[in-house]
Amino acid sequence: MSERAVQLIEGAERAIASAHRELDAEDTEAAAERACVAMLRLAKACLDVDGLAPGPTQAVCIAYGSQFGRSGRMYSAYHRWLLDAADLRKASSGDLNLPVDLASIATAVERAEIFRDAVVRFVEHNP
Amino acid sequence: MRTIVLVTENAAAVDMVMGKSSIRRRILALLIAEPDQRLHLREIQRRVGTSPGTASRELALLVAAGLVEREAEGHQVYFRPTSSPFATMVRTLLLVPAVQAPDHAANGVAPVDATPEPARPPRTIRGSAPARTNPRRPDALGLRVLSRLAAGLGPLYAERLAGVFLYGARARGDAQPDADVEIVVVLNTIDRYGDELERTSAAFAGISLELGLIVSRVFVSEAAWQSEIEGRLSVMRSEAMSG
Repeated sequence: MSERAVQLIEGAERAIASAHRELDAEDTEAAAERACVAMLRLAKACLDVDGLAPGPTQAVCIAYGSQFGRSGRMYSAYHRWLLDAADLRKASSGDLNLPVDLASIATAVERAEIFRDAVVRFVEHNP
Repeated sequence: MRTIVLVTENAAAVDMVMGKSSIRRRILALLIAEPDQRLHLREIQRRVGTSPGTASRELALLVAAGLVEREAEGHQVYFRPTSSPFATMVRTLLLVPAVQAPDHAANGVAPVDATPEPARPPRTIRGSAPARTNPRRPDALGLRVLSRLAAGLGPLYAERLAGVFLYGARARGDAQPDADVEIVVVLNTIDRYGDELERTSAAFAGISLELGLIVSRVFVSEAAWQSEIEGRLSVMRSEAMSG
């Protein structure tokens, strides 16, 4: 496992823990943002295995879709979850103020945790 | 439903609205023939000669396209043609068969062609004033994605769907080639936001993969979409292009 992948997974862990705290505080905007950040860092850890290091959210989502969306190397739903997390973050942002409920964000955080476990396995088996 | 549309002489946009469905055309023609009346679903279905399900699906697409508006009154739902500029233009095309758009549009299942369309000279509608130039020129790819999603979401949501719109840079016509395709889905009610994401997840992810772009969506309740609140939602509404 590369040092960068380790750092990204650790960063995702911190984001997930932070998302839980924000959920407890019922801050939907912050919780959705942390859940999305966790998904993005985990996607970057996967891409690191392929020697790719995209930066912006858009580039990460596109690169992850290209490398893993249909390849069968990772469960295809993770790509959907990544895009859904980004859309949930947008919907939860204060300037839009859409009625995003805590349960929907809790689902996104749970998915980030499932994705984290899968990414750890993937990275360990593809050093 | 408040619909904000752009006038367009772009044939692709007309194709998007008209699709291949003769039922859709007949429903629209029926409503146009009686513009001052509103008709309920059963009556439309009976007069057009189709099943309730088909009539409901086609009406949802026409509502999503901004050509028809839906009014609920008690348990009854009525439909009437809208008076938006784009709707007026399409009605004109329907009434002037000689300049009717070709009938080759994708109807929600065909792949989206990611190749940008070359600029077309403005079309002139026979027997009417020259077509107005669309000042924003929404890009062709955005319109094709919008068309495909509107066709897919119509049957999925049926009467819950109040509109599907393109917004952002691709609606304004100032998008870079790799810009996101930004969609707003207006539903009569939203109980749990995550359920709507889940319901549409495969469709949006599939198109994103196919195009190598991000196709994002937000869900807005009809009440919020129609409200006069300021902020980002107001900007989205001002940019919105129906499909």
